[in-house]
Formats: sequence, structure tokens, C-alpha cells
Amino acid sequence: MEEIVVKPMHSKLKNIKLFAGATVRGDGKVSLILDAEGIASHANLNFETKEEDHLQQEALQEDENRYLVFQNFSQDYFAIPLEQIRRIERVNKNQIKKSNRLNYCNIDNQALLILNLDREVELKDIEEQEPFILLPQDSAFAFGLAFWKVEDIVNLNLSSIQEADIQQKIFWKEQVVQLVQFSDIQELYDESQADNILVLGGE
Amino acid sequence: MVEALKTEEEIIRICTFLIEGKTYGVDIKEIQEVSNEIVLTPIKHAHVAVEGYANMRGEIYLVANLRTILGFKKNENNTENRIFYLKNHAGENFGFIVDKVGDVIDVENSQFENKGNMNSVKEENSSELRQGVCYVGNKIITVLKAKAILENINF
Repeated sequence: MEEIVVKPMHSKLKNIKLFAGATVRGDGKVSLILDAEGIASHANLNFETKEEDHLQQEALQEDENRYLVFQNFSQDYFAIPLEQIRRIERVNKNQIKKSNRLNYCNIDNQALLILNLDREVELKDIEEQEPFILLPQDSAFAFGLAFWKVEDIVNLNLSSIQEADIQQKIFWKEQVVQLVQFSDIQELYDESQADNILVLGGE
Repeated sequence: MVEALKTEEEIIRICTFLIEGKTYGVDIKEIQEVSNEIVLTPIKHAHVAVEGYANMRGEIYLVANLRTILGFKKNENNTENRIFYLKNHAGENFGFIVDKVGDVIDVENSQFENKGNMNSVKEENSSELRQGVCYVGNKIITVLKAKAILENINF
């Protein structure tokens, strides 16, 4: 490696963006120093920006289409958008306690209401000793969604499916997968509370 | 003393050179050095008159071909060619190639004539470049404004 002193281009050549400057070499000859950005600009190439934009858009699209596929305790399949998930915890079944017919668990020093997508199965009766608890990214109240098994994280192109609905179903690996969103679960919970009838996780 | 100063003001020392067989000159006070070493690094996309960069005592100089600036056809460089490097006040790190170097002559101000187009400088450039025309013996010398040569390279 050799250090060189690069002198700026002559004022009459400032409009030539191809060169960053010039230097006198050891043999006395003058060498021009190329400017990669200037060459790209001269050739009207904006490939970096376009490529970055393209990658960013692709990443955004991928994020929008990525879903967590999981099974509840009745082994039904569900899918929830990955961007709506804050994190997934595993808790010991014994940590889930009942209060006024509702299940709660201590996560992050908070009594988290645990909802279950199973109507028939009681959390205390499940075989799984360490069920998964899915924590939402944003929600009006603190709750977690209990489930049995993580299946996969998949890209689902749902552009053909109409407005989101908790009843939406798609086929994935020959299984019927119900698409859910935390907002739907929350609405269901709110309705059940209003009627004083617990639909999710009730006895 | 006064007489001597007056004489100095009235006389201009001109370094002459040839372009296309015609004699031109510039005030010697504007010239840094005349060199027979013509080693140039071409600069792509530069003005057609620009021949390239040259190393003159560690400094990088922009070198143009005076033939092209004056509107003559460019020809191959030969051993008689020289580079006239100008002082910085006349042209920022700038030099120009001439066909052949001539003599250094003293010209009195009274010898200058600014009439007519007796030189070979193209009409559109002549007014900007020409300082004056003078007769020395049987020669007609077109004296150029050194500063105007670089200014004449417009992009």
C-alpha cells in the first residue's frame, strides 16, 4: 500500500465528474484518480439507490406477508401476522392460575390474561406441560394467547382474500389454516365481556 | 533615472514561438518556464484543446494545444514542440504547447499596431487573445494576452 497526495482537478475541469483528482507518481508521471460515484453519475447509473429501494420494498412486502402458523390444543391450525407479534414465551402450565373463570399468568411481573383459541379444552387439562404464550405487539389490554405448537413461519400472499375476518381460512400443506389477528381476538373478548359470557378460555 | 524608467515601461520583452509557420509571442513576464519535455496524461471528456496533465517540478499543470485554441488543425507532436508554462497570475497551473520556440525580442510600445487582421488568429478569438501586432524586421509578430489563453478554453 502506498499513500499518495491527491490534488484537486484544475478549475477548468471541475465539470468532469469522472475524476476525483490527480497525483504525481513516483516516476514523475501524473495519474488521474477516478471517482466511482462520478462515473456512475456520468453514466446515469443509480443502481445503488434503486437496488436499496427494491430491497426495502421487498423486505416490507415480505414482512407484511409473513405469518406464524401454529396449532391450538385441539390441533387446529391458525396463522397470525408476524408483525403483530411482540414475542413468544413458554410457560409452565402450573404458572397459569384461574381467577373469576379467567386464566392469568405472571409474565414480566404483570398478571397477563391468557386467552385460548380452544372452546373445548381447558388450559388446566392440557397435556402440554409448557404451552406457548403469544404476546401481541400492540393491544388495548394486557393479554397473551396460549397455543400448543409452533408450526412454521411462512409467506402467505393474501391479496386474493377479501377484508380480514376471523373466519378466513386458507389451505396450507393440506391443512385448513384459520387466519386470525389480535384485533379480532380483542373484539371477541370485548363482546364476550359485555355479554358477561366468556367465549375464549371460558369453562 | 526618470529616463531609464520611462525606457523600461516602453519596452516589452516578448518570447516568440511559431504556430503553423506564423510568429506569435507572449510577454516574457508571464512565462514561468519553457520545456521540451512533453509527457502528458490525457484527460478524457476534457475540452478539445486540452492535451492533458503534465508534471512541472512536482506541480500538476493543465496543458492545452495552442494550435487548437487558435483554430488550426491539430498535428502530431514532434521534437520541436515546446510547452510554455505560465506564471500563476497569468494562468492557474497552466501551460500551452507551441510548434516551435523562437527568439526573445524587445519591442517598443510604439511598434505595436492593433489595426487589421494581419495575424492568423481566428476572428472570433482574435479580439480576446490578441494584445497587439508588431513588425520586427521583416516579421509580423502577433502578441497574445497570456491570461486570455486559459480563459479561452470554455466548456
